Amino acid sequence: MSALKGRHVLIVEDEMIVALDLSDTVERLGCTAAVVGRVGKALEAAVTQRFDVAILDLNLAGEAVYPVADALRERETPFVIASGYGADGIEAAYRDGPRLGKPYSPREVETALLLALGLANDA
Amino acid sequence: MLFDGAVPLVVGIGASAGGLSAFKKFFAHMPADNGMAFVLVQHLDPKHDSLLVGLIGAQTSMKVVEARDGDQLSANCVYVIPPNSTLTMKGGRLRMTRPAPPRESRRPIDTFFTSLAEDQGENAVCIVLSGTGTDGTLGLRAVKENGGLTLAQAEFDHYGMSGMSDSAVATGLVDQVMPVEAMPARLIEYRAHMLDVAGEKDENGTRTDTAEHLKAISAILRRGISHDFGQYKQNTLVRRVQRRMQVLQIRTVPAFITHLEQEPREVELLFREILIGVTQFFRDPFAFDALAATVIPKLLANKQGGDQVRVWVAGCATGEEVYSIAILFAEALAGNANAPRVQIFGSDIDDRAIARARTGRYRGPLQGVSPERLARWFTPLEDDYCVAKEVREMCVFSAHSLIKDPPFSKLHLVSCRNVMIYFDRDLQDRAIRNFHYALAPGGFLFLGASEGVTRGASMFATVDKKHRIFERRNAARPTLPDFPIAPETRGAQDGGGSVRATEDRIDKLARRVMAKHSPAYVVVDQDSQIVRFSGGECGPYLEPSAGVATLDLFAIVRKSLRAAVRAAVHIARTRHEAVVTENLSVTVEGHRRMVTLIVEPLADEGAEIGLTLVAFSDAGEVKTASHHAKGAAHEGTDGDLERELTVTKALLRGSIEELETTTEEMKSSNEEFQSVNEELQASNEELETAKEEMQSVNEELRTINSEMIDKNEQLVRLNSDLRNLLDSTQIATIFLDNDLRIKSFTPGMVDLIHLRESDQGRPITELVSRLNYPELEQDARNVLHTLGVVEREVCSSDDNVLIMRMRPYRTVANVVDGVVITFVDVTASTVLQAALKESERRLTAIVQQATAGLAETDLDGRFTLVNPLFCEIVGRTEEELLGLRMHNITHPDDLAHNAGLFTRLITDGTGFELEKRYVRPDGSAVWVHKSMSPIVDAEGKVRRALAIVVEITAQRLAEAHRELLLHELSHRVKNTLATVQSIAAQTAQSATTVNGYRDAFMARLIALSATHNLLQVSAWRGVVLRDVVATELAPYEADAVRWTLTGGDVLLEPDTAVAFGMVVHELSTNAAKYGALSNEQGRVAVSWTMSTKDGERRLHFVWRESGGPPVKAAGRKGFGTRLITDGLALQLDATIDLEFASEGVRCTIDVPLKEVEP
Repeated sequence: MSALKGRHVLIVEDEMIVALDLSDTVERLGCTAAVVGRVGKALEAAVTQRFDVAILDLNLAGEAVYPVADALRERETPFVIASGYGADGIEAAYRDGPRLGKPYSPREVETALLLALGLANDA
Repeated sequence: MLFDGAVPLVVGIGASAGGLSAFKKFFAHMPADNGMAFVLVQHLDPKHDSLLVGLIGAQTSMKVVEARDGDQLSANCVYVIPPNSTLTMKGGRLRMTRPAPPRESRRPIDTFFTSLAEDQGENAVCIVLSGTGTDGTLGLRAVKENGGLTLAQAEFDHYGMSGMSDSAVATGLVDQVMPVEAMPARLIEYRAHMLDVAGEKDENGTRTDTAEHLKAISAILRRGISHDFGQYKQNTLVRRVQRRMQVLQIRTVPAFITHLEQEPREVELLFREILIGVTQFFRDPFAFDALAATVIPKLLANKQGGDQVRVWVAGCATGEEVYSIAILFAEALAGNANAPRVQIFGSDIDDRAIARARTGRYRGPLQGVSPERLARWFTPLEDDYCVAKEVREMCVFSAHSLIKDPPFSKLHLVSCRNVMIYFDRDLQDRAIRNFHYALAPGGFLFLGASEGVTRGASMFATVDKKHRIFERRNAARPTLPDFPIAPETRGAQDGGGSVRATEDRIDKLARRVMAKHSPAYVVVDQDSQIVRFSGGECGPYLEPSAGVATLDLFAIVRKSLRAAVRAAVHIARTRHEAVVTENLSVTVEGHRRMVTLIVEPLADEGAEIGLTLVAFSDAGEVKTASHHAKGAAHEGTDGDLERELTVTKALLRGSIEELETTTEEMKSSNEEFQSVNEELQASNEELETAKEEMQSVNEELRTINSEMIDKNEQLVRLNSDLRNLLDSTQIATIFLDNDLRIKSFTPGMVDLIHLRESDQGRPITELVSRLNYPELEQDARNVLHTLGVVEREVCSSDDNVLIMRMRPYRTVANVVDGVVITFVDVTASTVLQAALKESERRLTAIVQQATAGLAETDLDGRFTLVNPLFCEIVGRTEEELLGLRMHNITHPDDLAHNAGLFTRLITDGTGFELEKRYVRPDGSAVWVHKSMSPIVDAEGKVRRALAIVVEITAQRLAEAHRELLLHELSHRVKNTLATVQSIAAQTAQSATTVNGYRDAFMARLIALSATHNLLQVSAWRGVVLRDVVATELAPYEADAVRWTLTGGDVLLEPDTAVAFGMVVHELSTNAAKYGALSNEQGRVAVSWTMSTKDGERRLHFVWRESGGPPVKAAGRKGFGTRLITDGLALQLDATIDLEFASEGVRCTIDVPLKEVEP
């Protein structure tokens, strides 16, 4: 719990209910969250703000989230990709990082964030 | 030069009956590389093709060809004369003329040999092989004259005929008579010899070393045969000598001179050689003019149709003189309708010359013949001239010796020119007497320029001294010399004349001495004509009487001796013994002398020769005194005796005269018989000529026959081949004549229309019932008429199908003689054909209508067949495709895989299936399932490949779509679950009781589900905003009057619809709990409008409550508020204004809308 405290998390999710709930979840983990629902807005946020880690929903109103992932990589901001498609639905270049399969529990979110931040032992 | 670098040798070979076998033997022994050219000349029937080329060709590896006009002869080649042609040679080339001359004047071998001799000279060789008749003999003579080699066949097998060869040999001009097998070796040897001496000749082939020796040779000739050849042309002599040397194969001239001196016979041969060819037409033309002017009109005067004019040309050689005289007569008789018959006998001792004369054919140009005469009396034949028929018919030739044989008789003209110059005086005398005897009274004698009748002046009177024309004196008694002496005379002529001359001189001297001591004598012939006097000593016993001078012994002997002499001669002749009569008294110059008479027939080696010697031996003077004394004593007796003697003498004289008359008559008869005999002989000669012609016909027939036998064998073989062919092909064939009667048929016809052998000759129309073919007759007549071909399908009564083909029957001579009809049973093939067509139709239908694309390619992948569907699939026309290969239209990514499989298919015939893409011309790819299999030929070898192609683009798309859907479904379910999870979590945060939580959670799930229901109804394409709002407001249906919905039809895409559904749910729930719907008066107005801003469609949505309890601002933001304010902004990028005004909640949403696909 303490490892995630104070971390600023970018949540990119267009499903409004899921986004609200996820934002609640990371806040309960002691993080602060910024939520965006579109690729354009996400890129804007990634450029204007500094995040410790991001949770990216793969499909944003029919648009893939990969440009955002690329922008985050450029800033060496680790990210977790959340998807209902499973690993197969993710392009190979982005498949290696931590993933969240929808639906996910708050614990899985925590683990994924820790993994992304390199704070978890690979258990 | 005929052949390069070798001695050219052209070998002419003549043969007739039996020649085939000889030819075969000859070529079997002749090596192929012999350096000579061969020309075969055979008697052939003009109307008959010869097989000789093929038959000879089988015997030798040399080239054997039928001679053609203009052929250049080349070495190691055999040329064969074609039928009905005359072959000659000029300038090393063959000349051929057609047609051959009529049979009686056809002498192909002579003709060719003669031209060969003239063209090739000493390079010519002629060979006379088997055959009858005499063809070849004259030609052989020509070859010999021109210095060539002559050979004749010696041994004959059972096919052989020796006639032709014998005739050639009889000329004495054949160099060698040998078996055919030995000839090739002789020829090769001969050619080698020619090569050897070739260096000693000039460019004309004349030896340069001969001229200087001519004088020596002339001298030998003068000595040997007393004839001077000094006036002969030198070149002619050199040629003659050279030829003899060639024949003898003597290399140098001195060696030849030695040979001449040693061999008297060679002198004779050379002489003969030189004499050849000196005679010519109208030799000494002025003499012939004189003959025509003076003699012929006289001979023809008073002669009429039935009369005959008889002419004898003695020593006529090759006949030019005979024909010259005949022409003169013909000219004189021209236009005379009632002309007497002119018969000219030509005779010569040389039978070869006579044979040549008989042919009446002379090599041009003819010397001495004027162009007018040439045109009028000669017919040109190749290079030769033939005497006109009317002239030839006047002439009869026979071999006859002027000296040995009795002469012709009752002649009107005798011509004997330049013959007697070779005779000595005795012979000349004899000849003149012969002519006198032979001529009828008033007949004429025509002699050569240097000849005369000096010693026969009593027999002939001169008519034209310059031209040697004489007329027979009728006064002289014609006497025929005794012919048995001829051999002796000729022997004296032939043998050493000089020896005889010497002996005569000794005789003369001896006689001069002996005359003083021996009795005087005379020699008389059988007619008592004195032929010899012993000299002047006879004078006392002879007493010429008055009147015509005569040599008749009994006419000139003293009268006192006449009776005794006559008696003694008679006795001596009859008894053939000497008769001596003594004591005859004769008064000479007044003195009575005693004479002994000796009469004895002369005999040569015991044989009497018709002469009788009468000698008078003087026995001394009669003593007159004693005579008187004695005479006185016997005076009386003497007188009686004298009278008796006188009577007896008279009687005797009568008897003698009677006897003489009888003898004369007998002699006369004898002469006539002899003349008749001569004429018979002449006729016989003519018959022999005819016989020769017959023989030559016979020969040709034999030749034809032997060829016919060969040909017949071939025909039999061919016929059997044809029969077997016809039988084995089982093509029923029938031959009809022009009247459509059956000529013949093959066994196949028997089955077809039940023909029997006995049907031959019956009209076909009676027999066709079994064929369903009524037009047969009409067709056959059409074929005969148009000479075209008719082809039909005909059914027989048992339903067999036959192909009938009818064409005109053409004989070998291309004459139409009926029709040929063939029937081929095609029943089986018709059925097969029908099946094949059916199968083809089926296949076409399948290919055309198949719901799969079909394409056939060759082993290079080139299209050979495509069906319409395939064209459609690949988007190209059939024409385009047939020019392309499979890989041209295959998608590049599929090429490698496809090519690998195709290679395997070609190599081992393994078929394959694959899914691949074709590229259409517009660049689009079309997916297909292709199944490819090999098409193999009868040997199992892959020839083609067949592809069956089904388009699977749609399937592929459907599959992809389904996959996408599944994926999307899973994604959606998971998203929905995530949403439900979040709703549960969020609802839990605000719930205070489990029931409250449950009601709120359930309500939210139902709201979510309601929107989903709407989406499901529209298949997730989108929902109308009004429906979304109405659905969420449905739980408050009872209060429907309290809310209003205002706005146009706006279609929302699914995500927007769901979000709106949740927002409206939250707003209405809040209204029911706390707002306008929580009391009885509150109202809710929902309205929306659409606008377009910056090209983006935007929805402006307003929720406005009124009339409800006063609104209390919420402390902490509940889930519903967050959802509306934050959630919608997140999800729809919307701008939301939520206002808790005192009169009621008011929510304004401004949202961009994505286009919804209808």
